[in-house]
Amino acid sequence: MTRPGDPSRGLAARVIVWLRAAFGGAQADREHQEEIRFHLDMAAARLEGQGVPSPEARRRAAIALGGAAQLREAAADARGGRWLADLGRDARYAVRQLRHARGFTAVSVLTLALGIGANTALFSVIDGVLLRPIPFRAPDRLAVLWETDRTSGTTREPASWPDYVDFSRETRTFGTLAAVTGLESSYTPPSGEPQRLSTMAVTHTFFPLVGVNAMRGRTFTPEEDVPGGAQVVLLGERFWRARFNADPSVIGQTIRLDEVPRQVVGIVPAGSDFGLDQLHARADYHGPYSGVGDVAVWLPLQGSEREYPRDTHPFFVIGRLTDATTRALASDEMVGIADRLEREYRSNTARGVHVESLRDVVFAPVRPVLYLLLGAVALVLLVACVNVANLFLARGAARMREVAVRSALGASFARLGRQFVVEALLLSVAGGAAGVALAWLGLRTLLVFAPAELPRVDEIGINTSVLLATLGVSLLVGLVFGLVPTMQALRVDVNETLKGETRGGSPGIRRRRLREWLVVSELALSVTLVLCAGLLVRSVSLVLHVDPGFKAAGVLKAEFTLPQGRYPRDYRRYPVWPATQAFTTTLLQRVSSLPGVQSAALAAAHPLDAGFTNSFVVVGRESEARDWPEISVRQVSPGYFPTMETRLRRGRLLQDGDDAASPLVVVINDAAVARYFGDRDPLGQEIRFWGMSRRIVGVIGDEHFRGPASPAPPAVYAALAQAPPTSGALLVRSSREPEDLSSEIRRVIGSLDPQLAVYGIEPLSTTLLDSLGTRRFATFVLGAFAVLTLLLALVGIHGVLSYATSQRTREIGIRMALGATRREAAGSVVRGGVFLALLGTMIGLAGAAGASRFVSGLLFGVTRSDPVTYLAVAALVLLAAVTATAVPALRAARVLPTEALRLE
Amino acid sequence: MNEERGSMLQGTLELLILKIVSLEPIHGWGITLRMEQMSSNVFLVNQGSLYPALERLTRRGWLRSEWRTTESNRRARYYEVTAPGRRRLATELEGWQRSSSAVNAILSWSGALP
Repeated sequence: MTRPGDPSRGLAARVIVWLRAAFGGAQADREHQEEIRFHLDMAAARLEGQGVPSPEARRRAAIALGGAAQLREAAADARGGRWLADLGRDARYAVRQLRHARGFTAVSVLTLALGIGANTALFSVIDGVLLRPIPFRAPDRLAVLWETDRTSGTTREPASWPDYVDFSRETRTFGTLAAVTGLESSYTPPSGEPQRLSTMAVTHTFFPLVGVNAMRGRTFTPEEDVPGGAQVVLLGERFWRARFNADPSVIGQTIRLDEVPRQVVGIVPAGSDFGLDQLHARADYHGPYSGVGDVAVWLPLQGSEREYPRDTHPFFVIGRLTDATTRALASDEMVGIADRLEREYRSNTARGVHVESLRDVVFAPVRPVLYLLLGAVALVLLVACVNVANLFLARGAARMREVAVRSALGASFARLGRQFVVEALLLSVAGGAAGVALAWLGLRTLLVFAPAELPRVDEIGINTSVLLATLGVSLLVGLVFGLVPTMQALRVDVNETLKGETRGGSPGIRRRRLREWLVVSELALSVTLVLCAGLLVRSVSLVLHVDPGFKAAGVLKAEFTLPQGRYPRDYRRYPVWPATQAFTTTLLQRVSSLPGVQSAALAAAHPLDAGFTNSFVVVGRESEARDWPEISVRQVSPGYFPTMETRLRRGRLLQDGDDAASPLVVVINDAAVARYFGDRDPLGQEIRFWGMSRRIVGVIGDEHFRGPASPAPPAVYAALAQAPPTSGALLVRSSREPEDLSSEIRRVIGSLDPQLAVYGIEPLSTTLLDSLGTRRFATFVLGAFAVLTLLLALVGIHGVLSYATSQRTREIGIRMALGATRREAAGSVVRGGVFLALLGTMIGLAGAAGASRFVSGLLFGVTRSDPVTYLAVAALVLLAAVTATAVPALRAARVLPTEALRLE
Repeated sequence: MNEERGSMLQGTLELLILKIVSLEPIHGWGITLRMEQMSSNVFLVNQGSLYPALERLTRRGWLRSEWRTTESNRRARYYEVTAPGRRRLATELEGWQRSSSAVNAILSWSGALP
């Protein structure tokens, strides 16, 4: 009777019907009942009028109408939208069921919350770091132009200013180039303490090149990035909001940076510094900049060959490829230009170029790690799901009777299935919600370990897309779990189940086998993860046990940069810089005399800062220097050696007497001896850099400036008094608490120069841990996932064995009655557990042998087939598995034969 | 829940209900009485199928209902035919007449087979 155009067919009409059914269902039902009551009353009255006695009349009337319940159902069916109302009823029923099975509900929700939460946390990292679009125009056309050095084998060096100028002028494959370099600057607010700011100096070409416009005001003009150009500054959006309350009138005003007044000309959006931290982090060396969150201020890079000659390499060069070219063509062209420069300039000896896409520079170090962790977290979820599937199977067995009763009462299979799915969905969505809460907590811990290589850490958070992904995962998991008991229900034989006790029959055994396989597989998965994590943990521990050549424990570090205004840098009179030297001398005196301080030192770069390198010659062997890599120049106070506990190999250390008035001397390290002197005696030789010759008076053991895992580069140490730096790190060895000492150090520095911004105050051992970067991050996260999966797998073993034991109570009772001891009873349970654990461990180790290749890039000092790790993991897992069998084994041992046999 | 199920009988029942309700607003019990009376007790309608049919017709928008008081001062649900219901009734009646005369023609055929 329905045709197109029927009012009942339109979507809107349907929705109204559904809504009415969902929300007006009870009302309609009441009306129906009243209508029926009226009908019965009238029918009975008519029969009574015909002489039928009253109770009989009511009975006949009711018979004529038919079964009240069926009628009620039929009417509800006819009203339509039944399913929605049913869904509500199913949900209420499910809530009731779950409330009865509290233990089951709690364990399932918690397990799912752990699995889903771990996924949510990691997905928000991946979403923030990798999936967000790069905030630059056509970012795939952007490339980084590195310089290379054949003598040292480095492939990612910043460029010199004159090289940048030549590259810019001659290139045809790049539309434009821009030079960038990170700085530290100290902002002096009108009131309050000076603040150290992340600062980026860029040529005026930078913002147009990446395609970022100023939010307010403008970016730099060509007139501003030449030497002597206007002292202007751009503010980063976040700094502007935080410091200036997003006040647009700041444009045109003047702020003081490093004591220099600069006019604010514009505000650039947050994210304009995309990738610049990573650019610095990937360079083989770079200046004092160490990215700390986003760039607060941008300065015009007013470069000149006079200030930055061809043999210093402080600038990062970024270019945009023209539409008509490829990176390979650009690379060919730039190599050609570099060849010409190499022939033309002595300082460019052995230097080439290396073109790399910006995307790779930023993401290549972290992408594999993040995908590795994504794979690991998927395993966590899988193991969580296997565990919950196990719980469902156990519960399904217990519910066979319910299923049979409901089928017997006429519940259709679809209806039962829907009931189970609704129940599972409730569990999984609850698990997902709890998981989001866990993820929120976990993310904070995770980000503490975020390495500097990880771009856009500020943008990581639980946002809409993360929540949608979590919801999707939860629903998927719920659907799958709804199907488990549905499939079981399909197999239920209503007659058999209702007839009697099904005990230890064939379906029980089949189900137990299935559950045992699930446990074996989850154990195998967790062994794989634990092994990979174990390899990483061993690597980190080996890295930390590498002797870095200095002793970080017990040393506190504080950094500062001396502003040029108050500490003039007169290079004609170098190394005589009275203001700088007065500051460093007094600072060292005052800090050394603090109570509890054993020794204090100042260095241009702390022992975990790669610092900078310089070209140099050994006097008398100038021609050889062509093929030599540059040498790291370390400017240190004489107290540096005792403070850092370096080892003296030969000759003497630098002394207090090595000042500007006495002969210039240096100390070199083992690596420098090996690289430049070989079998010759370096003592008494002179090396020349910065236009001055300095005599070598001693040799010390290598310090691993680039982190313990990297070999120490050749280095030369000059005394501060003979080579004053413009910035420094104060290193204090003491027996005092870091918090306590650092406030005192701040006070001392403040008393010497109240306007100096002090930063990076932390124990050097913290710096050492941070230098592990990605390796530590991956180890921490993978380790957490591994522990999580192992715990879940153990819960799984425990569950299966407990269930099996409870099913075998009777059997154990009989055995005991026949003379088996408690020990034997417990032993049989433990044996079952050990068998499963052995099987799972074997499979897991085999899987790990393959999976470990994903972590091989992060290993240090161990191979991925390291037998120690394999044995340790196998032992650990087996031990844990045996522990997990303890409770069911004890239960078996406590079985009382009399009780067990009576139990029927 | 399949609305096409038993369309012949159900269709007939619904057609009868539409016809009866179109005469005057009436409650379910009244429809039962009217059906017995009008068909001279030939149709012994299963009273149980009346109410689902009323719900179905209401849901399709052919009937609407309201609660009124009967002469004996009781609350009862009165149904009436809507405008679409009237159009529907007309179409259905026409279809019914066409098919019933065709069925009659077949049943009263006494001629020889061609």
